[in-house]
Formats: sequence, C-alpha cells, structure tokens
Amino acid sequence: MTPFEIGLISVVAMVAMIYLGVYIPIALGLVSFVTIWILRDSFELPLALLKIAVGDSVTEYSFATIPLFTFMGLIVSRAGMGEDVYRVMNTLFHKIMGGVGMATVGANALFAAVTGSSIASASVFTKVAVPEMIKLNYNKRFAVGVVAGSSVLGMIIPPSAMLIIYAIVAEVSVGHMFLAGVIPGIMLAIAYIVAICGMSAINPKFVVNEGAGQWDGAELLTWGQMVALCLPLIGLVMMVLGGIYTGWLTPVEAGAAGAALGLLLAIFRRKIDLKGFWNALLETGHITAAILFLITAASIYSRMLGIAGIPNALGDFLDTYQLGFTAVMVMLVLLMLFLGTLLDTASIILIVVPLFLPIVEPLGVSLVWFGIIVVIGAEIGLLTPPLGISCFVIKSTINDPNITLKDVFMGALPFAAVMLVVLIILIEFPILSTALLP
Amino acid sequence: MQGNEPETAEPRAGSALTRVANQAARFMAAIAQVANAAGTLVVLGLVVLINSDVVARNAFNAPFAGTYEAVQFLMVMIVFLQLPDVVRINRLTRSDGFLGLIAGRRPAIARFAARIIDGASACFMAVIAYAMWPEFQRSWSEDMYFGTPGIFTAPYWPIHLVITFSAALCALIFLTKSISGRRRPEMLHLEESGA
Repeated sequence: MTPFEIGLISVVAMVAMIYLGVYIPIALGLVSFVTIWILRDSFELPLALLKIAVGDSVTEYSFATIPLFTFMGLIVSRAGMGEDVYRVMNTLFHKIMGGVGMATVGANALFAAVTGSSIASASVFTKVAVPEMIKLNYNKRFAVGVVAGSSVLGMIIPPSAMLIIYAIVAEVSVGHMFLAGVIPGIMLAIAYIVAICGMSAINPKFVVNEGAGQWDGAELLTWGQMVALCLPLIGLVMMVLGGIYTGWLTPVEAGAAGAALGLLLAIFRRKIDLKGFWNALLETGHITAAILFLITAASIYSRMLGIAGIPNALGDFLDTYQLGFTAVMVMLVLLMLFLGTLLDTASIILIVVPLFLPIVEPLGVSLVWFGIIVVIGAEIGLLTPPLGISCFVIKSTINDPNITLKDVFMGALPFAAVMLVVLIILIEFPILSTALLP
Repeated sequence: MQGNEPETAEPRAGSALTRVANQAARFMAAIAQVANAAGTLVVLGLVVLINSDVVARNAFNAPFAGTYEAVQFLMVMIVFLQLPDVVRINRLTRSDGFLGLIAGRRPAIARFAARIIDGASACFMAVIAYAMWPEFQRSWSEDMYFGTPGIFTAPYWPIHLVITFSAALCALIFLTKSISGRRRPEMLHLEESGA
C-alpha cells in the first residue's frame, strides 16, 4: 500500500471511531500515532512527535485567550447581562409580529459580543425568551427554533472560542479573526430577522398560533433605562474589541481586561459570591483543558497527514481533474455538513482545517476569510440532527415535556437554512470577512 | 450543563477486581481533585498577572519583564493540572450519538463498548506518560531553562513533570473506568466540552 492509501484509511478509521463514541482527542492521537508507526516502521518517530506535540503545542502565548474569554463569558452570564439586553430588545421590537423572536436574535447578537460560547447563549435565552413566547401564544417550534438559531451567533460574533481555535490551527492572528467575525456575525443576525419577517408574512402559523395574545404593555422600558442596561455591555465591547482594533491591547490582554471588568460588574450587582466565583474558575479550567488537549491531538493528526502526503495528493487530484476553487468549496461545505451531524464545532474545525489548508493556501485566498467560512460551516452542525449540541442544551434547559427534541430540531431547521445561505454569500464575497482587517 | 454527572454505582456486586478498581478510582479521584483545585488557582493567577501587566504598562509605563513567558508556563500548568479531573467527570470531548442510541436498545453492548474505549484511552495516555518521562529526567539532571536568558527564565522540569504526572493519572483513571465500567452510556450526551 502507498502512504497515501494508508493515510486515507486512517482518516476514515478515525471518523468511524469518533462516530462510535471514542473520545475525539484520543481517536485523533491514537490513530495518528499508529499510522506514523506503520508508515515509517519505527516506534521511536511517533514517540518523538508525540513528545513535541504534547510538550510544545500547549506552550503558546495566544492559547491564553481561551481561558480568559471563557472566564469572561461565564462571568457576564452570571451577571445577568443576557437578560438585560433581552429586555431592551423586547422594548424595541414589541409592536411587530414575531417581535419576541426578533428581540431574541438582537439580544443574542449583542450578548454574543461578550461571550464566546453558543452553549451559554442557548441556556440563558431558553430561560428568558422561550417562556415569554409560549405565554404570548407563539408556535412552540418557532420559540425554541429561534433560540437555537440565534445561539449560533455566540460563536461567530467575537470574542469567540471557535475563532480562537481556528486562529491557532491555521497560525493566523487571533485579533484578525475577531475583526473578521464582526460583519458576518451582524449579517447573520440581520438575515435571521429578515427571515422571521418573511415567515410571519408568508406563513404566520409557523410563528404564532391562532388568536395570539398581544403584548400586555408591562415591562416596557424607558429610553433612559434602556441606555442604563446597555451601557455596561457596550463598555465591555468597546474595551475588548476596541482595544484589539486600535492595537492598544493584544487579544490575550483584552481577554484578561474583559474578565476583570466582567467580574467587577458581577460583584457590583451582587450577582456573584465566592462559591459562584470559584465555580466559574473551575468551569473555565475544565473547558480550557478539554479544548487544548483536543488541539494537541489535532496537531499530531496534522503531522500524520503531512507524513502520509494526504494534502499534496488531494491537491494533485484536484489538478488532474481540473477541479478549481468552486469544487474545493463545495467539497468543504459538504464535508462539514456531514461531520456536523454528529460532531461538535471545535472537532470539525480541527479535523477539516489540516486537510484543506494546504489545498486552499496555494490558491492565494485569505486564510482569515477561509477561517470564517470554516467556523460558520462547522456551526451549522450545532442545529442539525441527530446531535445538534445547541438543540440538546435547549431541550435539557427547558424541562417541558410538551416540547420534544424533534420540535427543537424542526424549529431550528429554517435557521440552519438561513445560515447556509449566508455562508454561500460569504464564500462568494470574501470582502465581507476581510473589510475590517488593518 | 455542569457536566458533573456522578458515576452512579451499579447495584450488582462486583468481582474482587472491580472492588479494587473502585477503591483505586476513589483514591485517584481525590488526587485529581487536588490537582484540579491547584489548576483553578493558576487560572486566577493568569487573570491577575495579565491585568497587573496591563495596568503597570499603561499607568506606570513599567511593563513586567517576562509576562509572555510566564503566560506560556501557566498555560501548561492549567491544562495538565485540570486534565485528570476532566477525564474523571467524563467531560473529555466525544460524540455520543451512536453509543446513546444503542444504550437505549442494547445496554450491555453499549457498556462493553464504553469499557473498550476507556481501555484504549488508558493506553494512549500511558504512551504520552512513557514519552514524557525521559524528558523530565533530562531537564531535571541537565538544568534546562525555559524563556529568554536575561529577561525571564524558569526551569523546564516542572513542565515535564506536570505533563508526565497528568498523563499517568489520566491513564490510571481511564483504566479504573474500564475495569469497573461505572458509567451510564445513556447519560452520555449530557457530557460535552465547553465548545
């Protein structure tokens, strides 16, 4: 067998093992280790590579963005910032049909600018927005679907753990990835709002049930209250993204400053005690360890691909059949949709990027743009059955037997479709991702 | 989504091997939790260090020497001190659609598959420990230093030690999971990483 064939078999074996339920970092590491051992007929070589991957790949300054932004996200969730922006958005959108849905999207977009996790967004907004929509007699599928769909914004609008992970694997700047995520994130939020308008115009039954209740006029905020509720969030965004944009702070420093400000805010509002603080730190550590171990394993996998010559062979294959850029993009999107049925976003990014990066790099495209495509493509998987993580989080947070997992998936499907459309637009017009780059 | 799913004990009495594994699991769980608490303090240290540096640089125009290297050093500590606890509470990233599916219909098969997977994971972590141990011996005896001479240096051996220790502990925790099989595959989808 040629090295290429062995490599290909090992990639297939790896995906099969992951589907069977093997821990993803273990599957990546173990298969890569054995493959290199077979290819080079030496136990010492994979051992040496493992040593380098484990010992060196974690000692990277920009990795510190992961715990810092994770901590910031956990703290601002505890500080109740998601609920605040939701109330503001509700006041703005309350007169329109499907308004609570639009408010959820808007609030998610703003909240996403201070958290990097779709899971945090999904659980916060399931608690505040879904009961409200049910009360106003919205269609239950729409209610959970809109929360699932808009939770994805958490990972696209910076700061975002996924943008950081891509930046690390592709060796581009974390700051550039953050800036590149701004326009696509806002675009997606607007696309969701337009889609909700369209749904209520074309098929109102999908949005609200017959005889839907009108807003009862309670809980509306004055302009002054709205400003007061938004101010802390805007301050945090200015500090973090503004700091990175002007070059005053590195992404790592921006994360630390954001974490400290978020903490001060939570203390000021008496939303956090020592136990809550310790739990947030603990959670941060767990998430960091899980993600960085995954990245370590992915670096072994990427070396294995190189040794087997897979990316070169794929490139030759494309040359031979005269398949150009469009074919590569179609393959990429299809592969990500397939993996998205069962895998989480970070794993998809770590499996796909080492395969495709050597192919797209010679095409002379922007790697930052490519990152935005990969992150959004991989995130569609959060919404698709059988294992859309956002949908699972919503189902387990909601605790209502009348809403099944199927309802969540069916409700999220239109939003997954909107994501796909936005993804195609972003592929077609790279300028949307690169416009803000210095 | 705390993920702190306690491993529920199975009602059936285990063999002698299972009993030993359960006792060993409790012992290693304690070590993992201590390491975890230490790692959690390092997270706090990281936040404090970087903020102090930003303040010192902007307010007093006196940045700390070696923040960059110290951050790298702390990152290794965070990851490898926390990893055994991540393994212990079943939060290592995995896709469990299939296992969850068969757990509903053929629980015995799902349980067996979960034990095989934990066993294979134990082997992989053991290989990491085996690879890192000579590195530790070398950095310990040869006084290897980390960082830029003249600005910030730290001995290399704590890094190699913590990685070796962490990988070995993870291997042992996986091994006890594999032997005792104390977990419920049908609960798997509640365990996922922070992604």
